Amino acid sequence: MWQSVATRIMTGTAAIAAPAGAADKVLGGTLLDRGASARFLTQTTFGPTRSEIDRVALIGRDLWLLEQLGKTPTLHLPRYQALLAQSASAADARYAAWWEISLTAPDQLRQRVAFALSEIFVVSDADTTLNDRPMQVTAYYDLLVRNAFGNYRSLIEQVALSQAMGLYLSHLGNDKPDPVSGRRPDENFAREVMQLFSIGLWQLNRDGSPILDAKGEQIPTYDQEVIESYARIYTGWTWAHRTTWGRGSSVADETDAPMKAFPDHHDSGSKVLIDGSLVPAGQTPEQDLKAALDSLFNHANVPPFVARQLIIKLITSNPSPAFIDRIARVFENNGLGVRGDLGAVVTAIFLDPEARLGFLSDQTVYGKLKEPLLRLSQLLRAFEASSRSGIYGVGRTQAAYAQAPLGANSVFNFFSPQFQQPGPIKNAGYYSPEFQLQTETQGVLIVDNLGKRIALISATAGDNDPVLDLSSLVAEAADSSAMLDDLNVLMLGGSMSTSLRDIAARAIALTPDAGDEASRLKRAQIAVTVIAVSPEYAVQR
Amino acid sequence: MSQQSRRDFLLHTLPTFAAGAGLIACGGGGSAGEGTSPAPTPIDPVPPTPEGYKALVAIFLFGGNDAYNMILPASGSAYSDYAKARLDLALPQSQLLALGAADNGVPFAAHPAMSEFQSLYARGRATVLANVGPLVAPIADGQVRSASSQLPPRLFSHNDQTDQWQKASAAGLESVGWAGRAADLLAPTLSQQALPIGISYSGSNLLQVGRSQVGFALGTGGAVEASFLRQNAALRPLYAEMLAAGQEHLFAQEYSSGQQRGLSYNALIASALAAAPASTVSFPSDRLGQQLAAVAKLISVRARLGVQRQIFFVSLGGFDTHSDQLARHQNLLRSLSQNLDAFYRATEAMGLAGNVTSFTASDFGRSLSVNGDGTDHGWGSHQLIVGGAVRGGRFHGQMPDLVPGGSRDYTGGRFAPSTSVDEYGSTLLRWFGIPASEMAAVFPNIGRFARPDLGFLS
Repeated sequence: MWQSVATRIMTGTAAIAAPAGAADKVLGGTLLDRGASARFLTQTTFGPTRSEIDRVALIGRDLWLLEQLGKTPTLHLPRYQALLAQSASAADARYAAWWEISLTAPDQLRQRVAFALSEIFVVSDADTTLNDRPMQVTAYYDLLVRNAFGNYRSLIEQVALSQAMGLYLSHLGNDKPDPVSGRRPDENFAREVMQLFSIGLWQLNRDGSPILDAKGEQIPTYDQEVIESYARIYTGWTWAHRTTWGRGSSVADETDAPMKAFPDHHDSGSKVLIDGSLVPAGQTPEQDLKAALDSLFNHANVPPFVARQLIIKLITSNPSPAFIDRIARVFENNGLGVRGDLGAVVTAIFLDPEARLGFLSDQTVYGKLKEPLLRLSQLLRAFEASSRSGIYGVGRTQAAYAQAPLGANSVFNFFSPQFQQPGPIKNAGYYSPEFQLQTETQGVLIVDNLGKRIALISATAGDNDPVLDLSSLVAEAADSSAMLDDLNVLMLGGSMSTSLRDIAARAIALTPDAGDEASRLKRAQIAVTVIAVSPEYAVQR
Repeated sequence: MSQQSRRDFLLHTLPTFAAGAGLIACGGGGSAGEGTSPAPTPIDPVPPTPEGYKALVAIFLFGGNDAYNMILPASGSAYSDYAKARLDLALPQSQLLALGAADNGVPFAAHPAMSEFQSLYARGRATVLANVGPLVAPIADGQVRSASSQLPPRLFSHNDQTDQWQKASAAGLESVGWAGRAADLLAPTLSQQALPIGISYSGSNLLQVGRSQVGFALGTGGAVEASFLRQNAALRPLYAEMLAAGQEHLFAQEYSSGQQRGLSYNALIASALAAAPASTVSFPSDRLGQQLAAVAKLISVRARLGVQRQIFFVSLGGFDTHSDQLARHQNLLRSLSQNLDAFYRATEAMGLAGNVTSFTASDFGRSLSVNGDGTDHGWGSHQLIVGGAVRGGRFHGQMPDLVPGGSRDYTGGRFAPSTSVDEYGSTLLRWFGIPASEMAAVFPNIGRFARPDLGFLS
């Protein structure tokens, strides 16, 4: 589907009205070009690297996006299996594969979007159904990787039929009702696919604002009866490897195939859809599923709902209605008459004037708190961290970062799109989803861990511990000003305040340059630490 | 020192945030025990203040606890009704742990995994509040299907009903929690208290958010620190300066003030916990056990923190049992029962059994009807309250008839609560020290309900 994006970029349709290089022109200068490139990469990847900054500065954002859209997806399952063969524990192999690919894969845009999707279409191994099934979880992540630039309709169907989702939202093994005993279908997936994956709770205008009724009140998108109707539709599916109906499975038998239909366990009665239309009786599980997902896909809420979800994960917590509207229009029609083209949607998001220039017009709210995991990934990528063994043993990040890939506490993700940090942010009426994770104590744990990773050196690191490569910083460490120029671009997208620069310089000066490796390494470590724990690094703008 | 000035003081001492006991005012807190079996020697020598120490401990059961399989009819036609509705999920009658008769005269029992709870109940230290949940206004028996204008919005949705439990007064209210509103009222009267009233061992939550008071989240592993500051002491004043510098960006500013609070409160707590007496009670090693052990430990140093009123928030997740309910629910209820008991014994050992009340809450109850091997989202549910001040060994509230289509069945065995979260919270807060005259400031709808004090606490 990315070819349609290429067309969009080449023909300059409405959604990419942002003049290419506009930010560069506003800021001017070669150094700031690299800063703007770094800022762009902070939004589009797991963190800027020196080489990627140079590349964006050289070829520009449009071509870089085109390049990225065309890159071969890097899949996690093969790496997971290879790492598992190296005798890592299964869960550790999943994390190691995720970190290796997120930090080093060339298809960074796809991986970053997949991570955003993993926080919308949530499954989690924090739940008992998936905690001993890292293969299913990894296969699910690959589903998101493969579909990151595909069509939303296809994505939602693959999500619906994935065994991981079937386990997580329990429609795997969901049986048709039994009128005699009173047993009825499981409503879990039916509810959450609407509330969280497609249309949300309230009817929306295309710009994401709620539609109000004559009394000025919001209008629900569905009620309990609709859920019960869809719950009947999502019956008759279970494990791909099962030859008979049932929910049981032994992990050793499992494959990464989609769920299999058992028509005898599908409720084949007629059902009412959300738009009031009727699914006729006697259809197969596949026909019913298609009708159900089509009805959701074509609901007017999906474009603004998905647009807002992606924008707040990638760009800013408080997008303007106009921004949402522009992206929702691209969702409705990619320019070639196709609805749901996610490649076109994410391209439009990253090239939108608000994504590119919003930080200039609004310096007080625009942007977002960086997710803890992304604060770590950006640090590790900026200094191309690696371990002796080649394994990315970043390990279990739940305690220090309150996050791990596909490890949320519930299908509601690590944080809610509606979360408002109590105090000035809430009082001013703004959303700040990532602050839900950033309790004050968690904030201390995060900077503590970032500091430890910066201080880690090869001599004392474990075989699998990623160690930052500070060599190019050490080479210029005699000159704190040179180091800070470098870090300003690499870590802050060229936005370092004079106040932070002053404090960082004084912090570096605490260790005088003695002309030796030790003092210069210490100066470099202090410089990186001061930036990494700063409020400016914590906020993506 | 007023609380505000104490707080300012603490924040401004950030460069030396490992301030040490010398900077931490003592006084307040502590009280003689009121429990049934006071510890032989009080482990905290601080004399009681006139108002005494009190703590509420909210145990939130995330996911929506299936209360109908936690507390259920023990025998007779009520058990038969239950078993008929519950199909494969019906617990065998012979395994149930008898409690006593509910308001309707029916004998009720606890889930077989809850022997510790049964014992607490038998000793009068625990009770069950039946069929409580978010309500906008009372709903009479038989009226729930015609009461659509009076229903809480977005029934059966996890996050919305969780919010309604934590906000109470289900509809049309600003986004603040009832414990936070209580903290707003109490904070000005607690001049010695060096910590926020709300302390969470389960991350951020709405319950503890007030208009001015906000809960503080701690980790269960004790106080935390930033090791780069310990290893580079000269960085401390510079980091403090960085965090004190005003930030133009609202989020960066909030990050700064959060880091300041995080560092200073954790340093304060580290210093206080260093002198914590060894616990004589062992907790289950699970996540709820870690949280409640941390609560007990913090309570043990209340005097060093000048703390007189605390509302704790802890949680146990995994209750969204759409599938595999029998096995999963049993593990969860075992953890809950063992932890309620361990925590009660810990308060008893501190001589504070009567000063500490723990209580459960959950997103919602679950459907009486069954989907195979699980249940779906419901509405009203039963809650447990434990402590020396509890009028225990008996049921409170009204039990619904567990019959599909019964007088409180909204749809599919999702029963409308007969008691509101407002009444539940109001009863807890009356005990905690919020005067009846102030209760409408905490629960704006409390006047609509019959019983602002349900009588389960003395």
